[in-house]
Amino acid sequence: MNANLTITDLSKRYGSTVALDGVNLTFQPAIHGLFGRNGAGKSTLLGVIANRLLPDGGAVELDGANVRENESAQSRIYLVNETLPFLLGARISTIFKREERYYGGFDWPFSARMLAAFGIEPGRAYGHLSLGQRMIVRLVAALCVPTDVLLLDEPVLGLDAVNRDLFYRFLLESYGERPRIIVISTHIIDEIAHIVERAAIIDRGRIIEAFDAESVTSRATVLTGESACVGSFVEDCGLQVISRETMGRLAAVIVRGPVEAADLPSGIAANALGLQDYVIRVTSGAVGPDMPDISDHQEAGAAGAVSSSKGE
Amino acid sequence: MDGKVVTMNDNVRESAHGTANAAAGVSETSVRGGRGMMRGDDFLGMSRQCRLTLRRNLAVYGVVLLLGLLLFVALCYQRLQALRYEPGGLSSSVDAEQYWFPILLLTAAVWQWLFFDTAVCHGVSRRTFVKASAIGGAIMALAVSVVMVASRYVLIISGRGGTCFAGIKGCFLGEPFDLPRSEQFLYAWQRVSYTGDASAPTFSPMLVGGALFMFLKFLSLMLSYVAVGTVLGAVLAWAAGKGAWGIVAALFVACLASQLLGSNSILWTNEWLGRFTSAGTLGNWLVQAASGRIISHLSAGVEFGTYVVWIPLVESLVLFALCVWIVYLMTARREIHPARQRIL
Repeated sequence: MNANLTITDLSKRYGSTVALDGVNLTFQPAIHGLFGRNGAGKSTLLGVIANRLLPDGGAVELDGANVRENESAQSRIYLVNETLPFLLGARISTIFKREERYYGGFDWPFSARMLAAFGIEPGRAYGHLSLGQRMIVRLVAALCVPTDVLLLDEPVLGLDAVNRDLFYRFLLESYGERPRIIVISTHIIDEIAHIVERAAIIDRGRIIEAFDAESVTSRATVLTGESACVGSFVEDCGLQVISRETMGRLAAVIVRGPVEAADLPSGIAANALGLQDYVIRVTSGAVGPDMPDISDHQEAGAAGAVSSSKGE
Repeated sequence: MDGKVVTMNDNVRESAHGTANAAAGVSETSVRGGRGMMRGDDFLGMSRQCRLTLRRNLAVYGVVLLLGLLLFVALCYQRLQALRYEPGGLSSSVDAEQYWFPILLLTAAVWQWLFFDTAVCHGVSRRTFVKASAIGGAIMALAVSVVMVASRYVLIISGRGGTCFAGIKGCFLGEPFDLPRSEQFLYAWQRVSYTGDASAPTFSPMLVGGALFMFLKFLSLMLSYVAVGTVLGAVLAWAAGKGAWGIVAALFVACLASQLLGSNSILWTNEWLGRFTSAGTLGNWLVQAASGRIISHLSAGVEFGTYVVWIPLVESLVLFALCVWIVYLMTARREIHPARQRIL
């Protein structure tokens, strides 16, 4: 099993609002993080992949087959989002049986173990659960169906810290047992920064970056020091500035790429950015207009390389 | 990483990804959660998703049929009890054709409106959803027709409902229920004279295949109900996509249309509008075609109606196909927006 999900020039509009603007992206078996601000187009992108929303242009292909109105392809894709796909009166076990019928298999022992860990009885009615528990049931179902593509849109919405921790562990266990394409869209980036292998950042309907999550520390550097000193260093080295903050005489300048400590003049300190900080900086509007986009189709090959290198 | 709510040991992650990488080379069936069935396994030209959607559709219709029959039996019992205390004192029996109209209409509409999300969220295509809706609706119409016509025919041939009397209904005595529009097709023709005192209609002898014609007429009605209900559901879903005001507007238009087109509507009683359906007009021709009763005037004041069942049957089939096509066109662009919480 080595599914390949390719998104080509995908576009989607809601009236005059552009939700997706020529998205190009490739997913291969790995845990991917999809990040962006509210209204950036994350949910729309996942909705289009799962055939719940219809694109205005472009295509989504799973192993070469267009997924739009394609039941064979859609039976390999599972999306968890805000939509409630279950009857409120149905019991959890009944819901799982139905999922099994639709997706052709269900990991019952794993689901039992997960429900027990989350403290949810399988005989309870879905409608009697709290909002957080309903989300857990959807996540349990998602991890137990044998799909090749699992899309999780804000999966930990309504979950407390303990349950979020449990979910991340089960997610890793599930992925370890059966590697597949897992895409997680969330705003709580710090929590999944150590889980995701690949990260994609979407802003105003466009993928502005896609990269190996482990490489985030080398993608940007925070330079702090006296404002004039930092400024001249950045200018002399020709570094690309992502954002700049000044506090009196001090300045914190975030530049793209790594900066060797040995190259730093005295009075300037360099620190790497975490994934969440990096996403914040890139999507907060501080990016200059001259900032070049690192489009994903250019890195599609890299995505594959990451996945395959993990498999070695 | 500082500030994490959850601290996950890096070894755990490495272990999980390492295991995943190792499992990537293992065959699909050997890993946990493997499929018990083949993907896209077709049966009788229907995909698994289509069969499951159809099964769900039939389950919904089955429950409605059961509840509908229970209520119908209760109404018939009430009618019989009323007749016992006041024989002939009640004006009409239970009209089964009218009874099933709101039931089938609303069920088809509710299915089309509210069950779409759950289907598409499980990988069912829009085309399949419409296909399953059409098949399920047709099966429901067939089931209702079989049950009702068989029950009614048993009553007729057992003599309880077959008594002819000199009244406007001719040979149709509803006891405890009747199918007024369909039962006419038990006969080949009806002759009505409006001259003198001889205003009682006379009928041809009952046809050998009359039960079949009665069944076909009843089926055509049930198919029409389902078809219109399906379109109504699609329109409501479309209106719901426009927000709450869309639904209110759609329901208002539906109520207005039902008032205008209802049997007591001013449209049919107004003298000027009545000309639309007067003899020799296109409207009259359409009414005849819809009813299957083709009228010819033998002489002044004598009307001769021939019952031709294939006309309303073909009409309802065309209407059904047309409605399914309209619903498909509306559903093909239907989307599920996560921001909008659904009932189901």
